[in-house]
Amino acid sequence: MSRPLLSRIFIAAALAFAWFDVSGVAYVRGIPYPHDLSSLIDLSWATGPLAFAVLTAFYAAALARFIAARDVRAATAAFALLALTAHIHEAQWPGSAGVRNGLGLPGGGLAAYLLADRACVLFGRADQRERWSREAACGVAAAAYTLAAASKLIYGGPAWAGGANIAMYIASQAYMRSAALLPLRLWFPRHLALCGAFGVGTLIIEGSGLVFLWPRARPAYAVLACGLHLGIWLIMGLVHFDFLLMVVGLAL
Amino acid sequence: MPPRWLAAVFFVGYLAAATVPKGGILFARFPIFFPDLTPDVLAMPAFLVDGRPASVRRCRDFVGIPASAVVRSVPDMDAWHRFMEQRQWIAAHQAAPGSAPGPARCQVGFWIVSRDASGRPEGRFQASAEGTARCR
Repeated sequence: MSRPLLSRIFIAAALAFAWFDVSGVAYVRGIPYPHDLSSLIDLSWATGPLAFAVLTAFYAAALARFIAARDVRAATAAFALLALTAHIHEAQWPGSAGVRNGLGLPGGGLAAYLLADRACVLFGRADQRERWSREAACGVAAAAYTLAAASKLIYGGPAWAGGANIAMYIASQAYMRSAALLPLRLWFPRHLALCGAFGVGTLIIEGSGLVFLWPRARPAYAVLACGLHLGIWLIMGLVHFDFLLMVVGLAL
Repeated sequence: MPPRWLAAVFFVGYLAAATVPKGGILFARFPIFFPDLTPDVLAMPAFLVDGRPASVRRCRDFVGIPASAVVRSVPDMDAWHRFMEQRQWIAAHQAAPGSAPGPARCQVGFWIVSRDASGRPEGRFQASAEGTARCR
């Protein structure tokens, strides 16, 4: 299997996970339309189980076509579907702003991928489309991690990484997920030094996102990012596999 | 080979898209995730099946658990969307009138976390409604 194909498989898997983030539109009954485009255009046709099943089928078909043939039109269709459902999701739950922003890397990365593809054709470098597109998405990945660290430092300050603060985060999430890892999620926040190390490690890894701009550093950063996301999943139950798969796909 | 500056251009472009317009744009939001410091007491919505935490989306045909039981009446971590999602799901999956109750015993409520004297978190579950459902 070629590296570009393997990379596309990981990127498509990241986009498939991103779709789970917007699956809430499947059981929405009416949209409050608080702002933006949805106050002008009725998008309720795209909500509910049946509409979501149809959209999911189109999305899956577009991703499959993107993997198999690097069909840019299919990737564009997938982006449009993700943008539509993400917009409805934001309109439905404006209070979730700041939480569901995990869509930023898969959605923003795909947008960059498509923009660079068009730019490549425009500059007469059609033979370099795959490389240019991946390079552009890598820029977005570097920015997404840097912004995640900047958010914590600007809004929470250095105290965000303190053991007591991280312990409260972890403890608050303990009952939100499956019972299988509940003992670990209750044990971990009782150890403030461990929680502090976890918080500092998170800031260091996210804050080092800039290194993803350098191709040689990408595999090492992807390994660190995988460790971060798997740790967050194990200890807090928060799933960011879309980030994880995207960064691995881009590092390949 | 792609030009060396290409990734840097998209890096700067994404930072600008996320920070220059207020709140950013779709797929480029800032702040990203929840960066605030946690309060001393907070609560998250919790859902138990037969006494064990579970995702509410595992269950349907709720009896005895109205959507109104999912209320945000205690301090929390601004996880408004979690309350709304749980409430939406329960509202959309109530049992048909007159149907038999499901086999699973369910509780909906809060997982309330506070700090003890040493700063360590302590949690307790507080139920707001109990009933039955069919769960997978």
